[in-house]
Amino acid sequence: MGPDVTAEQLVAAELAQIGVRADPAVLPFEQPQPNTVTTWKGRDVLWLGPDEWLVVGEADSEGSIERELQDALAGQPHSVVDVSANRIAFDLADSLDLLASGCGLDLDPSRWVPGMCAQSLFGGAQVILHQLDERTTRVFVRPSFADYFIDRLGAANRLI
Amino acid sequence: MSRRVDAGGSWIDRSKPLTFRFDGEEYEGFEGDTLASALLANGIIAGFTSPLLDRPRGVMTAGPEEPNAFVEISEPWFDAIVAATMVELVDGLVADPRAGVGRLPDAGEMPSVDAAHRHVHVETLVVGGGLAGRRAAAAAAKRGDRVMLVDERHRIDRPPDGVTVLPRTTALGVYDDGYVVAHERSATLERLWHVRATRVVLATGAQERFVAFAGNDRPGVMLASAAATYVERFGVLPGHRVAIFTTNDSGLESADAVRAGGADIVHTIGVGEDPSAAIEGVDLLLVSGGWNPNLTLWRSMGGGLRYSRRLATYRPDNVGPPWLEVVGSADGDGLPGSQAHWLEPADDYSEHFVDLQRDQTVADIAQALDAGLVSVEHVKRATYIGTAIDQGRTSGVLAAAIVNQLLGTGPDAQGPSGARPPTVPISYATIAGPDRGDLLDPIRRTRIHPWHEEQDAVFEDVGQWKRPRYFPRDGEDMDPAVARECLAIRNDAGVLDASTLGKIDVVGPDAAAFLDRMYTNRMSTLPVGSIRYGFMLGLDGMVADDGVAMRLGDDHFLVTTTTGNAAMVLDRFEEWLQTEWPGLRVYCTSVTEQWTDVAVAGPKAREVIAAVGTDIDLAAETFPFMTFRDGEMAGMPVRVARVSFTGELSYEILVDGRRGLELWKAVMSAGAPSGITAYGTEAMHVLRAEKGFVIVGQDTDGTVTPDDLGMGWIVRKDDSDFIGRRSLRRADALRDDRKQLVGLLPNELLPEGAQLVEEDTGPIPMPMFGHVTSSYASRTLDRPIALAMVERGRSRHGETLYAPLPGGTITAEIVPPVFYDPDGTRRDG
Repeated sequence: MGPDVTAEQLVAAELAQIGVRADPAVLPFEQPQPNTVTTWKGRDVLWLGPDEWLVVGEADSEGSIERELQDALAGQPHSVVDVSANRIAFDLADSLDLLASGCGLDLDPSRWVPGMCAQSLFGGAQVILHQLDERTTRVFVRPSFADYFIDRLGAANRLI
Repeated sequence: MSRRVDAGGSWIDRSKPLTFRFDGEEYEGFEGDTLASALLANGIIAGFTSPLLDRPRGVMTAGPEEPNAFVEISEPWFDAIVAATMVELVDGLVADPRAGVGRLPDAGEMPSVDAAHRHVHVETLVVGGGLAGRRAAAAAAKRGDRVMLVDERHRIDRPPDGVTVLPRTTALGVYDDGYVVAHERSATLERLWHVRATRVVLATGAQERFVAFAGNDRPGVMLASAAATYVERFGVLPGHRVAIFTTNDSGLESADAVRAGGADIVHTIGVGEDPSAAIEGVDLLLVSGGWNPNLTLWRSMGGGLRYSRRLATYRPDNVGPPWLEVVGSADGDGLPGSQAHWLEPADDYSEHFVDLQRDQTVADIAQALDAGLVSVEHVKRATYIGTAIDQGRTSGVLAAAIVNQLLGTGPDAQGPSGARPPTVPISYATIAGPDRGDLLDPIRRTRIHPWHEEQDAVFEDVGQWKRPRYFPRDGEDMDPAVARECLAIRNDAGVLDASTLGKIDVVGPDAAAFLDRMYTNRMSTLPVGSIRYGFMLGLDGMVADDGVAMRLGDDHFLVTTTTGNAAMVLDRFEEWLQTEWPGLRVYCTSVTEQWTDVAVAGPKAREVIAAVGTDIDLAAETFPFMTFRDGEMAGMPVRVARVSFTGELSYEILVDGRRGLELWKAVMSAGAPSGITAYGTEAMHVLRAEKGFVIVGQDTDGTVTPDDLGMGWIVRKDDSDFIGRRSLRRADALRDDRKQLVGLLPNELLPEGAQLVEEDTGPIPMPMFGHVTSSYASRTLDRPIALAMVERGRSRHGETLYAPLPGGTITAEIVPPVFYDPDGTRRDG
């Protein structure tokens, strides 16, 4: 029986997030392979679907990212939406086992490697997972689910 | 008298004695024992009772097929019912016999079950840790697979390297595409594994078959291989003077093992001689009727069977899912040939037991057949054979064979009845794992929730959301609090946290055309900067959701949904775009939580907004009803919409969610001089009902058309298509006796759901003409009001209906559903 999830294990990250939908042929950034992350001008581009990406930048950069994308995609059917407040991000350390208590993805470190991302569920909450490095998993979750997410992680930690 | 012998005992450690309690008495065993082996070692041969006939029963097997020896475990973990043969002995174990039926403790004594859950992916999952399973696991590991090997026993001999080996782990069920749920249980841990395997190998072994003869249920009758197992693994000799009845060579090998443990084999009986005669005069009768491959999991996935004459039983026919494989003795490999002998002939079959856990005999099967049943599945349901918690492991093949024999058909005419997961009983608490209590379903909270909590709001559940229902002051109950909140909005100003409303960003060259198809009214004619209220119908023409659309640009809309239907509406948009209209260039994004929605309503709403401070011109002429403006408020970028769900002048302020609480506090503070009052969902419901505004899902129930609500105006009449349009022309949708929305003026408060009839007295049952959908005490009107769906309601204004209720009959006059400000003069303030 483990303790509650500690503050060191769970750090909230302040980020700019822009959702992008468009024909992959007209993107200003290199299109990531499915379920992987590429970088564009120092920002992460997460593959969410065949025509759906999430651009993640440092805090307060959402305005400039949005403008750059709108300019680059002007004249093409597209959607560029500021979703910086629509999800919050937690950086979790050494927590793949905890996530595996409520997430059906293959999170075995031999398969789930840094640079991968995926949309899934953790318990009853929608999540986007992004493996930043060997130890750190960034979890995007709707703010309304944040308390639930932390409580569900704690419950898993006590039982593991 | 101890039956522990020096021979055998490969699984036990004789240097580590353990104490345990069974049926109130204390006993000793060894580490490595099962509860069953420890009971036998202590000479407990008849410690159990049959569930229906109350006959004494003893341990009959050494594995999961056990039909007799069931116990409740109360220490050190709780299990309502489990086979003693499958319980690993631990120090301090407390067990009590259970006659085939578990018992739930009283609510107050309910032990806590804390089961962890774990998802894992492997290329190969092997079920069964015998020789064939270990070989399959080792071969897969050598190929480079990730391999998991599970076995329900507490020990796996010579586990292969490079494999995740889980003893004490029962595969409960195998499901589509290699999803397997397995339950791991030890004294210190309980865990439910969700395994996704590319390939599943069933090495589930074989179980020795029983034979039906008179008195075959008596304590001291045991499967021959089980007795051999007790000697070899546990150093326990279940009997000293032993007879063996066998249809095959393996019985003789088992007898040799028992003899090596020190027993005298006094009779060896073959087919043709009645074993029941041998029971007297021995203390152990071994039975071997051949071997059945254990195919419960194979068959639960739809795997087929074929009859083997050599084995006198069923083997897998290898017609199953491609990722599922059966190996080893579960596939019939290496099993001894057996004579096809199921039933010892007799005149009286009333003590020839087939299913010991259901106390069912050959006589019971014969009775079912006499009644005209011919199918094994029907016999199963008539006798309950195979339906007890041992899942008929010893009785299934036997019952089918006896049915075939009594019907005079060949032994392969009918196989055993079907198999379903779970293979052993599992508690709901284990299935739930951490997802119970407050975690049973996620609780969602808005950004303003901390303020609501500070104010001691009383919350209600709306979908997964916690929304403030009302904000009691100075110990107020609900009714005075809601009345106060309602009056504040009608006379001054109120503020509501409306953030839970679903919000979807819809953009693309075809966005307007797309929304025209999703809503009954036209969104394509909406000017930029304006807002339109719309209905969405199901394919059946019934109201599915409502909301507003704001036109942000020629090809850009922000639409809202009801709180509970946000995910459904986005799913519906995506479904139609992806499956029916992939040519439409439209993208939808959920932005529900991007925006916090602060709704200020009341005659002083304009004054409040001005006091908060904004660069938006608030004059009714330049910022009219059903338009929105972008600007700044209290230094924050906002979008302000003039919509109203209360009938009063109203501004809904959308702000970046991260600043939602800040804006809320700014509104509360700037509005204080205007008497601003935070209000909850209850006041909102009362105020909207006074205006006759419906709530989809409360006043509608999936059987209501727009016209039923008196809102035929919202359905466009041109030839263009929208979802549900065709169904609105069905005869049923056009019936002239449909229920229609009306208002009711009752003589006292009606309960919601009350049925309405035309006479206050008369014979029961009487025809019902409608039901109450919403009912409130209106403080504004100082009287109770209600909304109802009533047959031909719109043509019945002025008539009286009655609601007969247990406390007396309530009388109600039918009126139009708009009780307050029918001309809408208040919305501009």
